[in-house]
Amino acid sequence: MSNSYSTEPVEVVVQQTPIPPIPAPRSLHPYRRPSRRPLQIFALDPMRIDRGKSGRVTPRATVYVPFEEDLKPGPRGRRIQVIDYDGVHRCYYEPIDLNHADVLIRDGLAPTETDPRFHQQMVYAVVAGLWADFETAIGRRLTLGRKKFLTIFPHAFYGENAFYDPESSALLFGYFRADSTEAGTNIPGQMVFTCLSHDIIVHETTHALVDRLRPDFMIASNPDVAAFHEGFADLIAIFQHFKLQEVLVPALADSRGDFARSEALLGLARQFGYSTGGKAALRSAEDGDPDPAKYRASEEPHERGAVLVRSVFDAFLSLYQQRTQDLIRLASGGTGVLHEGALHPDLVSRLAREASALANQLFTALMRAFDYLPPLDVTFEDFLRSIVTIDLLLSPSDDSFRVAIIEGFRKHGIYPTTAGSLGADSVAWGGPGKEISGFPFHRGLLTDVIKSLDAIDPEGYDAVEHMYGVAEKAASAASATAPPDEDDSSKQWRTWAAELFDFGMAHRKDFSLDEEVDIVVEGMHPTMRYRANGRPTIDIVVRYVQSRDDLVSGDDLKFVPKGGCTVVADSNGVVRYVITKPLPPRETPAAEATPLAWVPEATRRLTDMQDRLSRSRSSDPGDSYRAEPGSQALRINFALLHSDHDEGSDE
Amino acid sequence: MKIDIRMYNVGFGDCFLVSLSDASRKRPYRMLFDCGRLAGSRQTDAAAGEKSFEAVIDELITDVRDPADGVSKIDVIVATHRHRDHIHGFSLQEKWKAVEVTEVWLPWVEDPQNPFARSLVAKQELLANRTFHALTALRAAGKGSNSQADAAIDIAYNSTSNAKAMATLQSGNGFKNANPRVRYLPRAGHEPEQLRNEELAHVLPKGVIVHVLGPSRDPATIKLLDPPSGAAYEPLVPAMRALGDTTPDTAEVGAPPRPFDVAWVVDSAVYGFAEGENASIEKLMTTATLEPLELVYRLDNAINGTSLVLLVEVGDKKLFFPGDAQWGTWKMMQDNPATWDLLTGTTVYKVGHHGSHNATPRKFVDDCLSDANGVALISVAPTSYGGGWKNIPLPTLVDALKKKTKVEQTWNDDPSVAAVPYDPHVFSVTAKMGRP
Repeated sequence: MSNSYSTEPVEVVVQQTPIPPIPAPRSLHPYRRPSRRPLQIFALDPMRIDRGKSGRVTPRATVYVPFEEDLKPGPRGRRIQVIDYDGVHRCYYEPIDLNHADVLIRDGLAPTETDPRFHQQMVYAVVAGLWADFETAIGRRLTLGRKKFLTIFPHAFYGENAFYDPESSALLFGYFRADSTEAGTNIPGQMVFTCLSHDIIVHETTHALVDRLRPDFMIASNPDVAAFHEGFADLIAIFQHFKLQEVLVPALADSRGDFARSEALLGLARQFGYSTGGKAALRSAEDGDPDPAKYRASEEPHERGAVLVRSVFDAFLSLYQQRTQDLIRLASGGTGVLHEGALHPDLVSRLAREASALANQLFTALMRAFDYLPPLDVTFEDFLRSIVTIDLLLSPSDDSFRVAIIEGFRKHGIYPTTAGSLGADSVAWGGPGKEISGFPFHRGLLTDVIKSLDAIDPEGYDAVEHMYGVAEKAASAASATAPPDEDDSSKQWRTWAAELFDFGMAHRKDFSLDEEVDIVVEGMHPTMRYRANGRPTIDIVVRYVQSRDDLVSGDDLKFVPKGGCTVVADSNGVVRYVITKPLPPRETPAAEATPLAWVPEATRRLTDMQDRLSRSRSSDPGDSYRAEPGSQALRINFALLHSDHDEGSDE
Repeated sequence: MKIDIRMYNVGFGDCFLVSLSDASRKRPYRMLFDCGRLAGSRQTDAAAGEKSFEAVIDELITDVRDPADGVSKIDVIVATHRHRDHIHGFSLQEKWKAVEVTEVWLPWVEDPQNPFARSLVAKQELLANRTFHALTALRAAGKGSNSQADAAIDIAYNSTSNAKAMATLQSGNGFKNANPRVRYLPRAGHEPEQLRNEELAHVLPKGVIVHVLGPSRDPATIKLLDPPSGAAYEPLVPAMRALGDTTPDTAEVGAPPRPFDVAWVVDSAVYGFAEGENASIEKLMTTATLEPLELVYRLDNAINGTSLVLLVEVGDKKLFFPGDAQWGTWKMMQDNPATWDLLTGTTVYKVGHHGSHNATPRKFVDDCLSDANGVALISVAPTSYGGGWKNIPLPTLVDALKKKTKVEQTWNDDPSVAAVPYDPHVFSVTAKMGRP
């Protein structure tokens, strides 16, 4: 092996000879451009199937990702670029050309572990597919703004790790040899590619997209924040599996319709777990009975994240049972007890359809909940409240979904600490409690808003991206200067952002922000939903953030506590929700005269954060050596987080 | 019983001699805690009357001379952990050939008979060697050369095997006498372990109890001693390679295998990058994976965590030597009321890890240091990189200590504080003996 080790790139002539173009006949009826591109992937990790038992080959699937016509070899598209650069061997591997006719005609290359071009195709397909699903669920286009690209390195390094790096906006996947003694169903010493694991790709991509939606969630200001990142990524990985009929149908057939018994779906990244010497799946939605104490006790992000996964998954299981019991009764002659042996394929297919639909409903609810999440310092409680809020808005009359969610979370010890009851009305976020007037809404931009909500149509893409570029740049709208080539629409957006800034500044007190400190408009976006009566409604979501230099304590020079809020207003300019994460206001005579109701909560937040910061610094091995004390404290580092966890799973 | 503690000025490092003068023996009982110096410690300023490290060791060896026969004798050498700044002095092997040593106490992780300890130390060593070589190559390539990187190299170097020094301590022929008794503490199944005159009369006077408070053998705490393994380390390789590291991989690890046949390797031109784009891609990957500093910090932390933590109870006085114990060990002590009780009323505190942030919990200062006649000893010096480590010692910690007890530092750059006489730093106190 060591003989073949060389750092010299070898020149290779690309063997594919392009097929000579067939002269297109002049047609008065041009072909309609496809909106989707089919691509084959491994539906489960290639080495995950117990071949001895089932004799099956690794399940494959075909996924349909948005069609990008000008996709370059890599594949490199407009938002996703796959670059197969191997940092260990310092070389590039041959890139796939997904537009090559030989590739196009067979839905991309057939799944294989030995051809790096299939690996590139698979990461591209899974990332692009997930990205499109995110957009569909949140009802708007999601671009990376200034970062522009998500760069994916399918074979970045040698090592049992894969991670998202926010600085460079990149996903890095490692490859490694399976343990030579204990490799589960792997061949001992076999090369394992993390980029061929559907779960791992989805998990890491979710980190990237969550980071895009809430950049401040990279600061673990309370124990739930990092756990939210992990748990949410696992949930998305689980629900993405339910989209793949190739996995879902056999899994349901094997487990006789009972998900709690279907390991294929639940065991996340089992290949990953096995190949690092762990016995069980890395993180699994089902293990043991619900235990509320676990949530309070576990600070480790993966353990705590697992509580979130289980809460949502318990809700899923309960809803699945509710929604399939009629089918089970029909299939069991009314007894509800299924006969021995294999289930009828028709029943399996109906169950699969229910499970898929339900998974999609959950996925959508989890994603849409983001509109109601605070800009920072998220807790599981916030997430629960946001999910219930959006469900109340989307389906006011059918409460089965939110009841199941509330119950799923409650069983695991997550409930609103301030709500008086567990009724959906008190779990959902309340209104601002008073009228907040003056919300600026630009009707002139309505066409742009509607365009921006169209997440599927590839047309109008540039206009929307540009528009978002402008809106995102208005982070500090007051100081945003006009680019030289600004068109009318951009100008209006920038004006709007500036007005939102002024609005936020004027209402700092209403938003539990300090009245002496400037705010930043961290993001703004329109969001559309259909009300129960079928009428569409457009809301505007704005996130305000405030950095409180005045609250920096002596030793922690580089850690600036942040407060902030998410404001949701409807298209009539009525502020519906103000979801705040307050910090104590400066002590002014006025403030002391009329103590505000939210001050105790703000004080608790600050104390908790400082306590956590101090503990984080105590356990930060580099703290003493750093040039800027506290600079790395509380910042999530996925590269280290994930690798530490793998070591932990060795036990 | 008279207690004298001399803090030798070794620069950035530790070297403490505890002498217990008891009527039962003519020469005092002597315990030496560490003898080392960081490679990057500020160079000795001979013009200012400072002694070189070698000269300091010579002085130490003279200090322990038995007037009866002129032979230097130390009852117990405690090497708290394998860092250069704690044991480098023992690598000057010829010097120790003149010293009679009765016992050597080491943390249990150094026990060559313990397979777990062996693999732990091997892992730490491998990582230290690799990061040291990689970072040095990186600097040689003219990249990443800044004071922080220099410091990282030194921290990595500090963690390398220090085999010569360990040989002096462990080989059985490092001292004037053959085969001093080597103890690996605490013994399995003896936590919390106490060493007393009753069993160790040849090295401990009557009324002295040495409490072994760390390193723990508890699996959860031991886990913190594990250095970051392949998973965290391997992502570094691209960064190191990209920066010109050509260090061959050690035999234990082997060359990282290629994921594909070389036939799949292509020139970057195939990607059709725009001018300069591939360079920025390779750089992007480098930044994403370049965490050598983080890695080195963790390694440093892991080895500090192996520190032998001893509380020497002499009558009514308590001398606390925590080595460079880190948060894991401290937390364990803090969570155990009996241990915390024991630490309460500490007379002499050898400040952990040269006064850095994570080696002395605030709670310890608040709860346990109450003796106005006691002292906190900080052995520290500036380092040669850039501005050095501004937070070693941590100013707020020093302030907090000063509120509770007297603080002595081997080096001090605070102009408001009167210059501390260079040497010797001797702190003396008399312990009231007798059974409580």
